[in-house]
Amino acid sequence: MKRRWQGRRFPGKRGGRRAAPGRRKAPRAASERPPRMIAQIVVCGALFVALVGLKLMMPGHLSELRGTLGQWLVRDADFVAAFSAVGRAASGEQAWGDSLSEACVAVFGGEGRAQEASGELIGVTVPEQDVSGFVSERALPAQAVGEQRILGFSYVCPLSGTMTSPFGWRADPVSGEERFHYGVDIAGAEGDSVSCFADGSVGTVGESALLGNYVTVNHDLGFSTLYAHCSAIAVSAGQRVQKGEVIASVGATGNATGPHLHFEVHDGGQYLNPIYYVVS
Amino acid sequence: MLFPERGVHVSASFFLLAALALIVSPVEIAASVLLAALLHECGHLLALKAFRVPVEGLRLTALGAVLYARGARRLSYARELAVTLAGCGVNLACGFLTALAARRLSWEGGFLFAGAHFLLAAFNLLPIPPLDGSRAFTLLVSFFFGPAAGDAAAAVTGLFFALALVGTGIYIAAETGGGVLFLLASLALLFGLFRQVRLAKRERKV
Repeated sequence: MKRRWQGRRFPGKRGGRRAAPGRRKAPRAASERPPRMIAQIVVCGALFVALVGLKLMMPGHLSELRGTLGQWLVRDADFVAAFSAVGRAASGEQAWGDSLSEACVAVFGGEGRAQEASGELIGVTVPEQDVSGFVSERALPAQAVGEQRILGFSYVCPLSGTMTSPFGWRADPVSGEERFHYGVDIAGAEGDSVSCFADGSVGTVGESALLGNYVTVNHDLGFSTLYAHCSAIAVSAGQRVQKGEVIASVGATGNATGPHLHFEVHDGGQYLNPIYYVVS
Repeated sequence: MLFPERGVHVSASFFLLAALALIVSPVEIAASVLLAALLHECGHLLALKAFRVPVEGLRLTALGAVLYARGARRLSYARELAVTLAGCGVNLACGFLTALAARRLSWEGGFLFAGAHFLLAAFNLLPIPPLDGSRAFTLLVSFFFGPAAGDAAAAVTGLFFALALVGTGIYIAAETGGGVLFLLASLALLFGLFRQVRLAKRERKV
């Protein structure tokens, strides 16, 4: 094996610029640290302690600060979803390509995330409508799937109510820009029960500036569902849930102007049109 | 693995990062990353122990923990490469094992923890000083072309990657209308690179 000192500048080999061990300067003691460094550590340490104290004593204020800082730093990035997607790929449960795409969408947002704000009522009651009016004819983004997929398990509509915004292209109610809406919005009254779409296990329970309180549920065969803008979540991550079980309450948290449920159906890293699964 | 002081040191940037992590990210993310980082350093420690190299100090910074072990410089290139990659090796092994266990037990938290291991390993393998990827690159180039070429190649490659990340950070911040975390992280890497190059120069002069 080639030894590393072959051809390497080393003490005593060439020039001998490195001091002999006995003459090496003793390392600086902590008391000899420059005042600037001590000041930096004191300021940052005080900031750290203050923030921990704030978190313990005034959780409400911290939540507000977290929202503001979160918007500035990470927008609506969902690191739990991103980390879990990578772990899922490593386990072989999901393809690496799908997982990386899902992780990118979760962190960097963009068109992949649900762009929310309550829409105007379109007067369609979910259990009675004709699906064809809500299937987009325009080309969909790469991760959106227009056609119906067979889920292979039984499911229920998570909330009966008036659909206020379908899956598809729409003018963003806030910015006015045309964006893709990756789920359906179902209007409801504050506190109405949100039922679990199908049997599965709770993936993520989170809170983001855009989605408000949200929960995801992983179902069989790689399918998952997202329930957003909830006023409260009744389950915790990892918990097993049954079809029809109450998992959350309707709310208007996050970027929403009225109480409604934003509901998405995912197949791995792809977004399915939920309209096929919420009609009776 | 360069810094001028021995013992345990905590840099100001570490406190800032910890505070930000506490506020912005959910507790499970902060805990998973910290635990993965701890196991990463254990990987380095075990490898150093295997080669009978004493560890003289530990420094916690925003870019992670840095072990101080001057004896590592006396190892052969192959052995120092093994020490350098041991941390990421432990992360990859733990990541795969946790992911398989999570799938078998339907354990959601396990997927998250496995993801933390993989992402930490990927971050550390970036060829930007003082990250492990850059050190491994330096050692490989040094083996074939000598240490001066290794240091120069690592500095140039690191600068290229750090600037590319800063550019990506600016693009993401502009596209998302905020989301400056990536930009801040890439600037921290750029700053870490300059600091490492400065320390390396200082060490060569000693």
